Amino acid sequence: MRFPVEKLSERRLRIVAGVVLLWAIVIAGRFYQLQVTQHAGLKAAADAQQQHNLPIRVLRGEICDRTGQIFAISIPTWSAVVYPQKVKNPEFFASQIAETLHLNAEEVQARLDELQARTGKGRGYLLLKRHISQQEITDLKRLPFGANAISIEPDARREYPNNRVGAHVVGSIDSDGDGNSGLEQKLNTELKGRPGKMRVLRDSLLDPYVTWISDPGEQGANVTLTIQNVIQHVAERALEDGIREASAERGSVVVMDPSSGEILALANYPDFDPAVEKPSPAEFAKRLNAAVQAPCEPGSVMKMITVSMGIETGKFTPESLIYCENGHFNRPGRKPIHDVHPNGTLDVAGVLIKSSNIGVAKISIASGPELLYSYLKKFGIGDKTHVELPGETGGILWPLDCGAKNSRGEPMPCWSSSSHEYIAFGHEVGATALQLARAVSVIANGGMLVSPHLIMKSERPHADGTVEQLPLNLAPPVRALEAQTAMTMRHIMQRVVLEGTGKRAKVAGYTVGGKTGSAQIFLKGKGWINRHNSSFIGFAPVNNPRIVVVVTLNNTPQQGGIASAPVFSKIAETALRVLQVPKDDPDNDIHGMPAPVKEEDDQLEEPPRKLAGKKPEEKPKPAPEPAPEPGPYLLSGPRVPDFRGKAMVAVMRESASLGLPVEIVGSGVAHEQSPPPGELLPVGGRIHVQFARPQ
Amino acid sequence: MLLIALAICSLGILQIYSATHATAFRSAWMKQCVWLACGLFLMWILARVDYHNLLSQVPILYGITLAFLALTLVVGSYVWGSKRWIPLFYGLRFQPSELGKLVIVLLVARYLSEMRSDRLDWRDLLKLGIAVGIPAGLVLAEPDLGTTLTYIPILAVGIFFGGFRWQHALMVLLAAAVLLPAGWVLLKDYQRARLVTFLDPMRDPMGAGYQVIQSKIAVGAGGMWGEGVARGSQTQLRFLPAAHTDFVISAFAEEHGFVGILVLFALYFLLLMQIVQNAQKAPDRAGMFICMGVGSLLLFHLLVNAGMAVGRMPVTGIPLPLMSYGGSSMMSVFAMLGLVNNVRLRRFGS
Repeated sequence: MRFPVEKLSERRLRIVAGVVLLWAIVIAGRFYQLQVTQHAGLKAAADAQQQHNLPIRVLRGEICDRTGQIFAISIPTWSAVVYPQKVKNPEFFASQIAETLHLNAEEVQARLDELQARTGKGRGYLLLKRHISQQEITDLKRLPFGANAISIEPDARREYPNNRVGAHVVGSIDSDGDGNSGLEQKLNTELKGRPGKMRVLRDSLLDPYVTWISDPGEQGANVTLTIQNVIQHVAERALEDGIREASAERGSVVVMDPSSGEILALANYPDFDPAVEKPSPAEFAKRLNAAVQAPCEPGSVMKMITVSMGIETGKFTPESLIYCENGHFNRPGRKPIHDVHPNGTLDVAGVLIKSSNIGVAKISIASGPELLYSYLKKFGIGDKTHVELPGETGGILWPLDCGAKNSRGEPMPCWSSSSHEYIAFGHEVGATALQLARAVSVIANGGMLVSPHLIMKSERPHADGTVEQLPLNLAPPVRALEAQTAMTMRHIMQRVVLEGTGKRAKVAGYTVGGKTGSAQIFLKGKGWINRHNSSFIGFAPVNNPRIVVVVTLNNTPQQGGIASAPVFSKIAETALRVLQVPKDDPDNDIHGMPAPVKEEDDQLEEPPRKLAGKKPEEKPKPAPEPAPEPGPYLLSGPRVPDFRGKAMVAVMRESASLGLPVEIVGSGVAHEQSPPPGELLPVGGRIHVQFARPQ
Repeated sequence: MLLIALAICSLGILQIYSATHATAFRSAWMKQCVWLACGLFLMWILARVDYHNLLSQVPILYGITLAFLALTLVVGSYVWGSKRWIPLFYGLRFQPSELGKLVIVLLVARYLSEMRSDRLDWRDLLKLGIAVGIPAGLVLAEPDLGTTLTYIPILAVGIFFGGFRWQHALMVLLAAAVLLPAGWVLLKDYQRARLVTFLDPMRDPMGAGYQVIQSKIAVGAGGMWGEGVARGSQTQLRFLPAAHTDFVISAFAEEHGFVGILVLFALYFLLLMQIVQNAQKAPDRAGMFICMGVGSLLLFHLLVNAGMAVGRMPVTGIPLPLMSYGGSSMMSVFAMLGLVNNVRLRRFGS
């Protein structure tokens, strides 16, 4: 067989071509396999080795008061972290690092050894020192081994510029940056924000190449409180002084705007330093926010609700007379009820002014337990205020009906046949200072149950410069009492301060209304001891209250308003001045001081119950005061004068002389007014006058 | 044929630019343009001189090549653990093994064309084997396994078309089939791995496995349509090793996808078909063997390089003809295309 010599062998060419084609197909097929069928997986592999996630630091939001003063702010810092598995020679490492970071070398080594022993040679890191200085960062970077084993990581320090002031409101954070008390805890999510993520494209030498923000995160929200720093500060000082003078153990103060529910100050004593991240158990106990977390028997302040009920239901008027059994109310088959100061016949106003237990008990008996229960509920007793603070309690108000069971299936306590008599003067019931502030606001603001709150606004700044307003979710006010009743009650409570148990609560230049309260403390195993919870609830000015103040002093040997009323006076005086409330009572302004209170004016209001120890010294009985005459305050609101056509100065002068609050809109001459002339002004209301320039 | 070659070169230069524009080699694409120009000039020269004259000078060329290869082993500059280059002026370097390819193409063509028989006997095979084996051995000693391997297809295709007998082919295959596994089995695992590394240390600076893995990731990340010019993250972030030289096809695959690869393969296919056509139309056996030798060499380069990029071939530093960055490779490929043109120009001659 001969091949064609000169020409290419076709057969052999085909063989070669076939082999080559097979080879080419294999390779092209492999390209197809990699690029099309395995594309996703290989793309992920590429991303995995190229892209790395870095967290973007997001600072915790600021907390400031209504004036903009900062109560809590986060400062960006750096912390030194060590990866023990990368440490070759712990002894040398520890000595070097300790010197640089001003730490104890042996301690560092011990911590390193401990971590290495615990985690083996594997993963884990040790936070060497937080918030290192710029000098320490520079020094660390100079260390020959620093780059590998040491990492300088972003951190933040929480600063509380006001230290202890407002600590129970603002709260504190733990070392992980999570709130563990106060607003810091309750609003932790909002304040903390969400750290963003930055994707870093790194080349094969791990040099960052391109970075982009894959998730901007969420900045921590900046919170503006309703707290007013001066009022808060004075409230804390007055509380501390009051506790010392009354030899009390602890106490709380709440200052609130009755019409809006904005809390202007909220304080407890003992207070704490929020900057301490790891408090001792004793220190931690001080972080209890008693004003919302610890209910106590309100005592006589509860009579405010009982009397309101009596008047509003029409069963009683302020002038209705009640026989007060001369201080000893015997009922067949039940324990007698006592008054400290025996009274004969008092009118209803007098019952509150003299704080007669027997008087309010009789009002309650006449109304019945169901009605009392409904009125307690109307005033928010037994219900949480849903203020923005953690661990709030709703206080103690047992259900009216027996047989209810709690979550553990145990029968719950309920009202006995005499409960309504005792609850009428504040026994067998528990309320927090904040609940009392809400209850007294009902009287102060003309009958509305408002939602106490601490947050004025909560704003989340965004990267694009816009600010997102976070919702506040406040429950709208609910009418609890007729405006008429509230107004009547305000004037009776004014007389409590003028004539009754609350004389020490007077504030120079202002009309003040209030009610003292005192409850003897019952200790398990010891019975009733000669210690009391003393409280005062009040408001000012009487006609259009701008503030309500609640003071509770716990575990004091003193009874009644002696201890807490002066605290109220100090706080209210400052708050009214800070809020620039015009003075409305020039007669009660002797060189800026309220009229002095005589010792014998201090009246006890709660009969001592069976004492475990000795009997308290009885004070000399003051002469019973004459029954008050029915005053103009018993009528409905004043008639509205005709302002129309008058100049602004004239309107202001006239309204001031009549003591009527006026709201002025516009300029020129009075054009329209609401309510119209001749109508009765609603209790607590203002006259809106629209001014316009004549054409 | 020239147009196709230039098209492939353009793709190559584009890819070299894309792969290096952010690295220390950012001027590589311009250098490649210069090499392309030089290559074209060389091609023109080699097309002018009648290949019969070249064939008559084969003994002298062969001698010069051997001398250069020997000289490389003596004065060659040590780069990445092997001596492959003879330093010239202005930092230019000359790679004699590339010249070797050209000479072996001519040698095989001359030997087979002078044989007045269409059957090769053992003596012919032995003679050819030795003639090719000497330069191959010298290149292997550099060491440069890749280039050594490229000499084999020239010889294999040559003798196959030169009248290699089936019996001989069978015997050679049988011998190889027995000897290779036997030798392989005798080696231990690490020795096998070492053998490959030992034979080709330069191409394995970070571990051959790393290169292949990165190359496969790059190819796969490209997907059907590719990530776009200068957008291939594997390439741009320098994960892909030798992205402008040996693994230029991986970079190309990442940035242009499977579709780009198909287009590229089509261009190479057209180029090879042109060469085979020239072989068929060659005026004599010598011309035919020259074309087939060039064709087999280019094909071998292409398939081994592409196979390496997708992990179907061992990593041996065989560049992709016309695309990979490198002066010597560029010059030799164009010189060989010049030879093919040479044959083509004389297809109507005596």
